[in-house]
This record gives sequence, C-alpha cells and structure tokens, in this order.
Amino acid sequence: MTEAGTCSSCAAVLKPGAAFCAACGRSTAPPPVKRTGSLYLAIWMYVALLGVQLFLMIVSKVTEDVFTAEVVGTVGFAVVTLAFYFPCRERFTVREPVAFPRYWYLLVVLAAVPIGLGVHAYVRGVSSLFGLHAPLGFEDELAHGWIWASVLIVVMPPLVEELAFRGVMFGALRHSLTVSETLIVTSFAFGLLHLSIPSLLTHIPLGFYFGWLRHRSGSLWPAVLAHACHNAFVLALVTV
Amino acid sequence: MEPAEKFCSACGASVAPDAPPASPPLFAAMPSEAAHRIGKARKWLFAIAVLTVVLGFIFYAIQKKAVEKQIDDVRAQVAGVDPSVVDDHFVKATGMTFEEAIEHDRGMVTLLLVVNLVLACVYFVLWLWAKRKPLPATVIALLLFVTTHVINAVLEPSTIYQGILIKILFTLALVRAIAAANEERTLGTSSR
Repeated sequence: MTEAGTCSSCAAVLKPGAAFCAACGRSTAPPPVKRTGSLYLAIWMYVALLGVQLFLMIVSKVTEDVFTAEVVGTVGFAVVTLAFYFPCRERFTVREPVAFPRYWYLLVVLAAVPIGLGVHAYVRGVSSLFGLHAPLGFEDELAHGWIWASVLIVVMPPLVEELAFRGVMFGALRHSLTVSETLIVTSFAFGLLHLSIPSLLTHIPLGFYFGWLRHRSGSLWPAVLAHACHNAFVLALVTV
Repeated sequence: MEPAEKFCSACGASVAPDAPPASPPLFAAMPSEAAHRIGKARKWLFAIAVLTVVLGFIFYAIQKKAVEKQIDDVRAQVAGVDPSVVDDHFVKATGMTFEEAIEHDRGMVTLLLVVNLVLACVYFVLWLWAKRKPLPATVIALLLFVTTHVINAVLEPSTIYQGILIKILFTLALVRAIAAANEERTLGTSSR
C-alpha cells in the first residue's frame, strides 16, 4: 500500500481488514521480500569452499601428508562457512518446519545402518567392477588413532558441512528457489564438493536426505545427527 | 458487498462479469532479453553434453593406448625378474601386486570414460530441466562445470589452457543465464 487505507495499485479506499482491493482485486499484503543477492552469496560461498578443497588437494599432493591436509582443510572449511554465516546470519536463517516428532531422531540413527551399508556396497561394487585396488579410505586418519579419526570423520565434517550446506547455503538459496529446488541444488553442491564424480551417485541422495531432515525439522541438528551416524557407521565398516 | 465493488475484499475473486483479472499478468511475457540469454545457455548446455561424450571417447582411446604402452614397457623391464620380487617391489610402492596394479590402471581408464558419460548425462538432464526451471538448472550446471574443470586443472595443470575459449564462453553464458533467470523470477513470472 502506498499510504494507510488505500490500494497501492489503483489508490481506491480499502475496507478495514480487507485482504484484497474491492476495486481492482490486488492483494493488500506487502510484496514478499526477495533477497536476490542471497543466490550470488550462496554461489560465492561454494566457490570459496571449493578453493579450500583445492588447497587441501594441492597441499596433500605436494607434502604427501594427507592427515595434516585434512586438519587444515576442516579448519579452513569451518572458517569460510562462519565467515559467510555470521555477517548475515539473519538472512541465512530460514525456519519453516513442517513436522518432526521426537521419535524421528531414533529413526534417523537407525536409518544410518541401511544407508551406510548401501554406500559401502556401492563403493565396493565400483571398485570390483573396474578392478580398482586402491584402499577404501580413512587410513591416514586411523593411523593417528581412534580419537583423531573420530574427530576428523564423525564429529567435524557433520557439524561444518551441515552448517555450510543445510545452514548457510540452504537459507540463502531458499530466498530465490522453491524448497524442492533448494534441496536439489544444495545436494548437488554437497556431492560436488567431495571432489569425486563416481561418489556423486551416493552423495547427492545423501545430501537430499540431510536437506529434507533440515527442512522437515527447521533445525540443523537432525541432519547433523544423521550425517554423524552415517560417517560413524561407514568408518566402523571400513575398519572391521 | 456493495454494488460498485468488482472484487471480493476477502478472497480477491471477481464478482463482476466484465471485471479484469484480479492479478493482471504485468510480467507474463518473459522479457525477450532474459529468454534469449536462457535459450543461449541451454544451447551451450546441449553442446557441452555432446562435447563431453565425444571428448570422453577420444580421451579414453588416448589413455588406453598410453596405459597399454606403459604396461608393455614395464613388462619388458621386469621380464627376467622373479615375479615375487616384482610383487614385493610393487606392494611396497603402491600397496598392490604387479597384476593388481595393471588391473587397477586399466580400470581407471574405463572409469574415466564412465565418468565422462555420467557427466554428459547430467548436462543433458540439466538441458531438459532448464526449459522448465532455468534458475536451479543453470546454477547446478555452473557449479558442476567449474568444479570438474578446476579439479582437472589441479590434477593435470596442462589441461588449464585446453579449450580455454569454450570454458570461458560457457561460464559466461551460464552466469548471464543465472542473472536473467533470477531477474525473471524476481519479477514474478515464474511460479514458486
């Protein structure tokens, strides 16, 4: 509305409490705030996170010290995410919970078993199909003991990645995209930033699942829990 | 309701038979510039999908030939050596026996072809999707394209300048299409 009580489109006097102008049919509600800049912020954040991942790749390639590169990479990932989150956290905090009963937390934990088994079977299947004999991963973290492996696989990635993808990126994209579009874009971003095209087939559905949990609950914690349980289960499968 | 009123003030529905539509489609026709940019990006997406398939097969042929030559060279080098000694050497260096290493290298070449075909499929699906939902499709295409080429550049620095013009043009087309699709959506022409 241009002024109190008149229609912003035809300037007709509005009835008290009217949701629409009786003369032209226009809604009296103020237009929704669309923050178009958030889309570009999400893209720039992805580029910055990609930079961190590439730095990690180069460091581990040059020094051949994967463990140090992992630690530096995790810290760098967290710093970039927080650098984007804190200055405009109100813009990125989108809460539109649907329904998330408490007992679903238990389902999230239980779901980690079939999901983890599926991911592990896929990785083994690809390796056996193409005759690959490379190790399945986590050797560098496990070489430094269980505590370090747990911190670098089970604790830090779920916290940092969920804040980045389901927190900042989801909230930023939600201003420009629908829920399903936001889920698809954030799951692609999540899959792509693991820098492995074959693993896109597992990471995109995983990202979609974590994003769905975040959307249903309006909170990051169910997604963090699901991510941590999944990583813990896969770590256990690899080591057993 | 009063007789002069043409619309319901509660739901916005028209009550007069000659009333104009409640929400005139001010931006119903997508600005031609935005449509042009999105159309151009879609053409690029299709071209990149085809190019990824073609280049995938070319690189497969090149890599296969190089790997087979490398295998023949190594086989010639270890021809007179005891196989267990060769295996010990390979296990220490790579964690695989000699035959496993050969199988692994051949598998990686095939996997490279499959990866390129999967990428082509993704670009093709994005090309189709961009017709209905240009904004998310072009955003994903940009992230995918930038990520794959930056990974390639780190793994093989010599690939940075390969097809640099196509890389720049495609990236620019996607960036312009994202801006156009975002602008178009902000104006309210797309359903949310």
